[in-house]
Amino acid sequence: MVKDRTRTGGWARSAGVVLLLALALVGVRGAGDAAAEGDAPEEAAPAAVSPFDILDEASQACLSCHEMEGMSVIFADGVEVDVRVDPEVFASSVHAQAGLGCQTCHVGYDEYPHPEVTQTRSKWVLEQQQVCAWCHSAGDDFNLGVHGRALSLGDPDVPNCTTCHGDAHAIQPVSTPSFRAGIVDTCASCHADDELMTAHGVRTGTVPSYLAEFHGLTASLLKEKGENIPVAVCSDCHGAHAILPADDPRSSVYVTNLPATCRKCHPDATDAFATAWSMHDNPERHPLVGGIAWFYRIVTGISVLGFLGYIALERAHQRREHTRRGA
Amino acid sequence: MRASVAQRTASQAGTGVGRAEPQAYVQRFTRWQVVQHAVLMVSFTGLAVTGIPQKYAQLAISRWFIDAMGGIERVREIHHVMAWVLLGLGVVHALEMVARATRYGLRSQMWPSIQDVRDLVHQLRYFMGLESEEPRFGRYSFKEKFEYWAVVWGTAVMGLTGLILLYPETATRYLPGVAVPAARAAHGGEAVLAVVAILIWHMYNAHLRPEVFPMDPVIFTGRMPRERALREHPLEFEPPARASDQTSATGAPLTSPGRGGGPSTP
Repeated sequence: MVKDRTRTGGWARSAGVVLLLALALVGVRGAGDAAAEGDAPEEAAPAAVSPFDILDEASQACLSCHEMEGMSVIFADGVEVDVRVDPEVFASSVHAQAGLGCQTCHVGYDEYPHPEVTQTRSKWVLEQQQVCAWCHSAGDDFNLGVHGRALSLGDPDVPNCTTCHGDAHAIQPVSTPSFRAGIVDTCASCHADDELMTAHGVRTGTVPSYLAEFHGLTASLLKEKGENIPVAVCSDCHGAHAILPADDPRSSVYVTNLPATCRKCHPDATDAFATAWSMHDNPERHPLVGGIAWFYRIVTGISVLGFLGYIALERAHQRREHTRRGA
Repeated sequence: MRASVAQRTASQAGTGVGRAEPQAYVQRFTRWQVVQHAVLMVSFTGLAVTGIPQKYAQLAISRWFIDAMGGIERVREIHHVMAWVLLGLGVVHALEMVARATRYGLRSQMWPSIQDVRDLVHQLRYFMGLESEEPRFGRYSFKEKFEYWAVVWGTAVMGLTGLILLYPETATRYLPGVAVPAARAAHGGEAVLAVVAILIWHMYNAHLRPEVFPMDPVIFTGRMPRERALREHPLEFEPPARASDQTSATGAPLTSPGRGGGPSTP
């Protein structure tokens, strides 16, 4: 461009200026777009022209009623559940995108009036787990894990498929950055509830301890930006479906299994590396770490007092000198 | 470069040359020392600006600041680049000191001594009106020695713990796992200590004191007005009281620009 300008003179120069201005504008817009992207990450599958286009006729028929607000069903135990489905949300879900329709899961609901609801809510949820398992073998793992076992025993508080993956009508692939970014919040929605955890005999304080260490700190800083999280989130160490308590020898976080779990991301990790992790404890409970932390608290406190004391004495002295000389 | 102006004027005075017009400045720091301070200043500031918000990342203001600098991953990149700069400076400085020590021996005017404690007590007593005269310092007063050794200690701690945090897999091949959270505690603790020392002690002594306000330029120009040098470092320009006094101006200093100030006759 420099060459052109010298050869063709003023014309090229003004063209160059225009080009630079255009580049600057693109740059500014690009920066704006990047900022906007940061605010509202968009990774959903491209929406069809009309949400109904990708749905089969039967599903369209269902949605002609179920898209209306205010529809609900009352279970035998009195629990009322909203049964509205937003056609656009469903159409962009991974299920609709894969060609699934309402009847794929809601078998027996192809006639109106629908069969009467006779189960309790929790019973129904348990049954729906089986529906997911028609296609998803992860359900087998889930049933082996601590959540699945508790669910099969009728514990109403434990998560089922949709607690973590979201409403089946809006379900998104787990490979999206936003799903990964939401994992910590998903687990924390129960595990940060100390009352709920204590009631179930589950350890408390695990979420704050995670957020205070390197992985959790990094994850919490990146999650708001919708960026892919390159550090360990809950499921990377604990697994997703067959989660077992840390004192179960089959658990991925059982003390002797921990080095292998670390090596999933840290291939060079030694057994000693795994002991760097405080196991959701406060690292300062270790005498060396606590000793260092307290050493610095004390030394910093003494230093600040020392500095300020010295400065105060010098200033007071100089002020006295000043007034003495002035007088 | 090796001989300070003080030394030059001293030798000139000895031969009777230039005696009529003593130079207005003494060379206090070499150009290399000025460069070292500049590199230290830039890297330290960069490390503090990118590091302190990471230590206090739970605060909203830290999160805002990290975002403003381009996000946590960018902040860590800058932190690591600055860390390598400071670590490089530290290694070069240490090698230089070792080289000097092998050449001139371990004597240096920068070593702390019991005289520094006496000077500190004397200084405080003077401020309180319990002494009539201020303490008289050699080439480096207790304040300057304190800052120098604080930087040496701080850089060593930050460098070592920082490397453990940057390469935890490698570190735990030689150290127990607890070294990593211990390094994290030390890295954060030492960081706050260092920043507090700079913000209070260094800012006061190098910028806010009325004597030097708004800033003491000596570490950037390398030279100090002769009259000020004689006032603040009188012993540097006097014959040593005792041959064994290692803070005296004779001997082979490790960290002074020349072979010591030597006796001078202003």
